[in-house]
Amino acid sequence: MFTWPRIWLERQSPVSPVRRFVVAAAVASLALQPALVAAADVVIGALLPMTGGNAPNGAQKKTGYELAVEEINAQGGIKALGGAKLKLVVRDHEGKPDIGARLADAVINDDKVSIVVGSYMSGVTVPVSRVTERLKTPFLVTDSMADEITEAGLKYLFRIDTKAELATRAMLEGVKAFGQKAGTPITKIALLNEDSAFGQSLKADFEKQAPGLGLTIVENLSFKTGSPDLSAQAARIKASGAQWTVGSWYITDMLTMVKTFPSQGLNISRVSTFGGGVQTPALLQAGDQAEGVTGFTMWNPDLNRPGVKAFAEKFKQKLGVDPNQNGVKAYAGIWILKEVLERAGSLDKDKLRETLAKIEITSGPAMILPTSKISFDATGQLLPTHIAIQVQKGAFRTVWPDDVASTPLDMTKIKQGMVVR
Amino acid sequence: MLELLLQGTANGLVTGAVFAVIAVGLTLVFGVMRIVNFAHGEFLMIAMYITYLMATFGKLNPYLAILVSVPLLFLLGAGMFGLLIRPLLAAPEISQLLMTMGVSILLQNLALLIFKGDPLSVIVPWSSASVRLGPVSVAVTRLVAAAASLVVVFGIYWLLKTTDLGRMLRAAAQNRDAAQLMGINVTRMYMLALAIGVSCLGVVGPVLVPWAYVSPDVGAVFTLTAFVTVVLGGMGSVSGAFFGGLILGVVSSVSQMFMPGTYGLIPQYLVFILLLLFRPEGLFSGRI
Repeated sequence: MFTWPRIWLERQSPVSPVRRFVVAAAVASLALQPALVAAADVVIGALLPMTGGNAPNGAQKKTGYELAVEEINAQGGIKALGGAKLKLVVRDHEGKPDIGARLADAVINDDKVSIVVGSYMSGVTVPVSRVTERLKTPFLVTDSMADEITEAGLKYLFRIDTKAELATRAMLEGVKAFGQKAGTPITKIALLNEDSAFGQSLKADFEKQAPGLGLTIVENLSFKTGSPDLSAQAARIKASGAQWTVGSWYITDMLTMVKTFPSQGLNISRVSTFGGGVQTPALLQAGDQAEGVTGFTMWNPDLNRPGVKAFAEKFKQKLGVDPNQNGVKAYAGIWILKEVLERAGSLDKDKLRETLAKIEITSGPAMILPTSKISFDATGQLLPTHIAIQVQKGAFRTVWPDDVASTPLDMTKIKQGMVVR
Repeated sequence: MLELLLQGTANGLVTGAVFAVIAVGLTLVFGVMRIVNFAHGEFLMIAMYITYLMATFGKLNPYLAILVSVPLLFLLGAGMFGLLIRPLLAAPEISQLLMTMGVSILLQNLALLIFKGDPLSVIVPWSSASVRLGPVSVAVTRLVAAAASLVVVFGIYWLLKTTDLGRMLRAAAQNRDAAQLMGINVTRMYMLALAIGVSCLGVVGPVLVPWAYVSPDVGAVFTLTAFVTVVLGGMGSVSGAFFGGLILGVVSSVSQMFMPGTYGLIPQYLVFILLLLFRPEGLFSGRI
């Protein structure tokens, strides 16, 4: 039941009405201040493998993100949000899916991020994407290839990394091209895939696409990434008569193969994977034994793209090693987000999602990615381009397709065939 | 098919020898002290990092690191006993177990702090060399690892079987009070068991580095198999650890040859479970 407030009924305030009005107006304007004064930071959460076997590529991504954040903040932050600065929060998922899912929740609910980026490993990205979708937070996947990531009908997920089915097609076409150049047409291949979401996706795609390209799969193996012993797989590939081996693995597996495959009689330059599993500076430490190793990726420092030299130099200064495709995608990802934030003009997650879905970028630092236009299709996938690289004289060189290659493919090791003993 | 089987068996024997020597150190500690040392793998990791540093910065042959890591690990093992285990000897077993677990976590994270998470690699000129025995080829680096492991296993066996120290260790393991009554300094036997058990890893680390990569969690990869080997062979039995290691090595290698991916890791544990069902005390329980 309503009654008039007693103070209003009983006595007048001792302060004059004018004074009361002035005080009330001052208090009201204070409440409105935050919208006019310096804006709060835009918090971006990055989930990365900072420990465990994939730590080197976690570091690449962190450096890429940080470089972009520093540049954007130095240029005045997000103008549409009153000069708000970007703030990066990095959390280590250690390569474990359950930790990734938990951290996704923590980073959104505790760190209050507006956007999530990451996570380098498909096996972690999949559970993280379930959390970000449930919490209606945009998730920009800067590195994870499994097909299922953009096939789950998620509205808040966008990916600038390639999709497994597109990458595998490029790999098979590339391998065929290598065979042509070596003078020995490739018809028989062996598949070697690690068995998390990443490898399973690539395995299914290889199996689907190989027959259409005239390739017979003579050996189809899977293994657990991080295994110290791959001699069983080497023996089987050797016995199968395969002319080239393609597959999916991470950098520690590549190091194991570089050490053990030659002693088992396999030609390591004919064992190719995609991405950080080959394009990591740790591989170059193997010196002569890594010479001639081939692989596939989306970007390499020797590509003729705008701003590459400046970026590569700053990156090397920051991390001490050259950037690989993971470092570049991280960098480009943050610059894409800057555009999104400028065009959305708000931190409302649904607005950000909408802006991401419709965005088209054709200029700016994000164009360091080798594509003519950055935009996402209905599933949130960017249309990627792929290249092949080879370790030549201790550096990664782009060798395919011919129109972007910086040097020709080095045949010294390749021409020895798959089995060298 | 037969070729693959033979190759798998050869790889398995070579890998199994390494499992065996890691397990021997662990079983010695358990046999004498009845303490499960969860930090066992981390000592291996320390030896591997020492090897990496000597090989990369000193440009030395990694095998020379044995001369440094064996005495160092001996001292570390003795130190760990004196500082951390001895005060807990009268405490419930769970406390001792948790102490070693704590040491394990501490060491892993110290390594992470000092060396970062990147997997490190040492390449030697003979990294790709291999030896052919008929249809089977084995990498030289693994043969060396297996040979070194066998030397250590037989060395420990010889120590326990023939020397006075060995007899004293076995006495302390069999019956602590009776051994004390016989005038054996049981606490010192405990310290020696831990120190010797851990210094075995000072040989394993340097021979593993040429073919495995070094990272803070490399110890954990080998520790699980070491535990399984110890239980399979009978806790406290060196011959048990030896044969258990070889069996697990061969089973794991052959099954990975013929079964895809992670499935290939199952049979060794199936064998373990079945063996324990029919012989719960392990293969050679009660014997050294």
